[in-house]
Amino acid sequence: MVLPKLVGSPIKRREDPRLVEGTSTYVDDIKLHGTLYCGIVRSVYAHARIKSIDTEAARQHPGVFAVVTGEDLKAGGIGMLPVAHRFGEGLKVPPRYPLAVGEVHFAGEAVAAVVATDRYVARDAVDLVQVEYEPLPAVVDLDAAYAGAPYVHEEFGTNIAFEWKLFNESGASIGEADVKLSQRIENQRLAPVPMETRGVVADYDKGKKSLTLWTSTQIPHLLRTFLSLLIGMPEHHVRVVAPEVGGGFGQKLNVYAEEGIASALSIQLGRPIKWIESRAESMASSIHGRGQTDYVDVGATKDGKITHLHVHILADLGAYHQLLTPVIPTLTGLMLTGPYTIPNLQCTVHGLFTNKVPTDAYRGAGRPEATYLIERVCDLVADATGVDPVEVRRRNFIGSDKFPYTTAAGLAYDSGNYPLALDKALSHIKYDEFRAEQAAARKNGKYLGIGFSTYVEVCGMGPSAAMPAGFGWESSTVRVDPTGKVTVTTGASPHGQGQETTFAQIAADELGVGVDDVIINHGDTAGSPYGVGTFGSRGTAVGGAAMMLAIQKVQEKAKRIAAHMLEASVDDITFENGKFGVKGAPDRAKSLGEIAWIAYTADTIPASIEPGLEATSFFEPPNFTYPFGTHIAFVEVDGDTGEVTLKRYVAVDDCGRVINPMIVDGQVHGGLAQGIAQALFEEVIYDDQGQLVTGSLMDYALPTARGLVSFETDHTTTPSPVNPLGVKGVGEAGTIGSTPAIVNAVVDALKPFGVTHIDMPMRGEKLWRIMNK
Amino acid sequence: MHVNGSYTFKADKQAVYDLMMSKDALAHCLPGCENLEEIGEDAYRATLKIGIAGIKGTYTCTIRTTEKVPLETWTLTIEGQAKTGNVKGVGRFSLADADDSTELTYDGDADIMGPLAGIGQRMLAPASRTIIGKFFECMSGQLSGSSQ
Repeated sequence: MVLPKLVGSPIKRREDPRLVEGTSTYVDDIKLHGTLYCGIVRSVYAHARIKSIDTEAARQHPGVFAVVTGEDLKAGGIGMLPVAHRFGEGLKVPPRYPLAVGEVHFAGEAVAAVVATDRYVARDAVDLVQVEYEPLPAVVDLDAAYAGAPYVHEEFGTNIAFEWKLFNESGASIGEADVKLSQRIENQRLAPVPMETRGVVADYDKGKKSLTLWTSTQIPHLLRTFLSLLIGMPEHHVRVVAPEVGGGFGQKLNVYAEEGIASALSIQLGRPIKWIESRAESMASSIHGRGQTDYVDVGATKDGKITHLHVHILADLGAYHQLLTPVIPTLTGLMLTGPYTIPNLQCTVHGLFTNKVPTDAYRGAGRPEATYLIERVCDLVADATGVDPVEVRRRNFIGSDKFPYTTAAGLAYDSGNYPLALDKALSHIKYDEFRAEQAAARKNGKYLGIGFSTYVEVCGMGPSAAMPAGFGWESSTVRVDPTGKVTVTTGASPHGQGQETTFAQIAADELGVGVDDVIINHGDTAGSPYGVGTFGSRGTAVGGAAMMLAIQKVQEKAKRIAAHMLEASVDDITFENGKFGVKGAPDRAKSLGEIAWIAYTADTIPASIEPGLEATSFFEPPNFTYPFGTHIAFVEVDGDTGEVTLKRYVAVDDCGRVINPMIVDGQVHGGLAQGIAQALFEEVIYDDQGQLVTGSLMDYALPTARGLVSFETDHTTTPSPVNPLGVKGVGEAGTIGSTPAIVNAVVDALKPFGVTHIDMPMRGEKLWRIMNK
Repeated sequence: MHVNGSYTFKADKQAVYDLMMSKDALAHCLPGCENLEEIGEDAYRATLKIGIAGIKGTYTCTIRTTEKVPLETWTLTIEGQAKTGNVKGVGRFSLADADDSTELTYDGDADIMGPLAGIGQRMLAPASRTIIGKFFECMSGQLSGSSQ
């Protein structure tokens, strides 16, 4: 084996020069001759019957080519948007057409589409479409939605889309526990807000009867399948391209109305159709995340051992199911016990329709809700028992000798060492000194707080049998070109994760070439085998593993060709220091390039060896991965204003083997910013009419450098046994671990005021009221 | 959004009531009113140009007065549509004698639908207070015969 040279080293991302120079190609940079622009008419009501749509004035507007409504698309054979699930009959699925038919169910829902010569004319024409509505009562609040009428979808006679239950109890009941406590915990709705909003360019080729769709997506291959079903075009006539994708965070892990609308219009008009989402449209119509109200009952011993966890989750699904909507809150249920040995678990999830934008996967997707809940519970138990919050966690940890460990929810954790990460994080701080400082500061009216979060997350999304509709594998092709350069394709189409760098590091090491001799191609269904996509921290754990298997096949074939070239037995061929040689004769060793030339010229290789040097592999992981870590937050709450200042943040994450520590740190930093922002700033708010109040970035508070702090990151390394790279994934860790650390710190700071729980976000006004009650 | 408040007119109830029912006074004092036409008993169609939170919109409105108890109380409903969003306001007005003047109190709800709701909500309460204040000042001016 060649010694790893690139894997583990912090080389700079190869993607970045083109991104910072502005030379990369996003969807809006695709400029096809004859392009027409699409604008979408959106519902102003959260819930209303469409009485009529008058498109005449828009049609007559100079420069307008077409105006279509939901009825038009339906008559043209356009179907419904898909939802992936395993609930069977147990899930209520309302019809969801790309353009609303009959009724609208959230403010911002697409009602009609116009096509015009440019985007400004299209925007003007949107205003000329007159939609007459009959408003219906809007369902906004989760408790009210659960209680009964009014209903989002009258035909169901309920707002409950599904009920999902977990029950694992043995021995004593919660009533017999020494310590019992209950808490209502809200996990507010968030908007993912990728820097690049969504956008599509659809181009129908009449001659070839084929459609190419450029779209800002995380799942080009799955989208191609679903789009072909949606518009009724054979799949092999559809090509989907995800060019540069400016952030996704799960929002682009979906099949959206506009992808179907633009495709249908391009087919109808025979012209390329472009639609670029505005920020306001993004906030009001692309999926949101989180959105739960959780009712928690806990039983514990008086020395802080948690014995019972009973949770009733009211999950805000929004008005419809998008691709994974009903699956997300079940992930919360599955991860409720966190890194702890909680023997008795009960969980009921009620997925509730509301007249709001559908929720779906947002960075963490169901697991941040679980981690927030159990990490708040640890602090509540600490409060109730008087045991230190660090000690509560320690007493409940799954022992490092217990892996693989099957939890009360039935998941098999692959590997872990939770005390190690906790100890490492504690080694960065002086806990006892802080407690003394905190006590002294309180006497001076200064409120300091410390918060802990010892999280575990489920990542590396596969295996297929455990996924909402299969598709838990990933594919890769590794091709050594005649000159010895390496072209890799991956189905795990990235959108900011740096796979062009990390995958090249792995391939270069394994094939004995330089990192610049490897290119990683992705995102084009015409240019690679079928693939799945990047989400659920699966890029390297599943996609990288698929590439590793393909590399091993290439290595094997290279050895057979080398054996032929060196007139030796295959069994005697070694691969050392980047060259294929015969045992004991290193000077005769052949480089990959020399072997590739022979593989392609093919005039000297025996008939038993196929020409060429490439291989394709599909990797099906045997299990999920379970990254973990300990986060510690220090905050100060201003006694006069209630404003929270983040003083210090320590994150120790274990994502298994690290391919590129700089990229891992980047992922952790970005995740921390988003997770901390949920605790402190972000909140999607609808008024009681179902109108989005936080519809712009003036009103929806994204994190900025001003509200954050220079993060201190560190790692422990516990390889995963479930993939050949030993990696676990790190895309969501920061988001999942950080939110409870912040809230625990703020609650700790305000302990003198007798609070044990505060719902997010930790706004100054809210905290000021607590301090001035 | 809940809106309530009061305004004191230096006039008796009859004068204030007549003023509030006067088409001409409304046409003059409704904010940004470009035209006001009667479309039925106590019903008008109006075009109002109003800027809220920096977003100017031309609202096509229907205005209705219902549940009238002369000299005492009435309900005013305004429904407006603009490119920037729809507005619906329902207010209950009542009059009370106060020394040598009349106090008008109002209590109602205003709902904003569409893009305007998502952009300007934070500024809506102060903006509507300003608009309502200007409206009453203007109406008061109509009462004393001076125009503003």
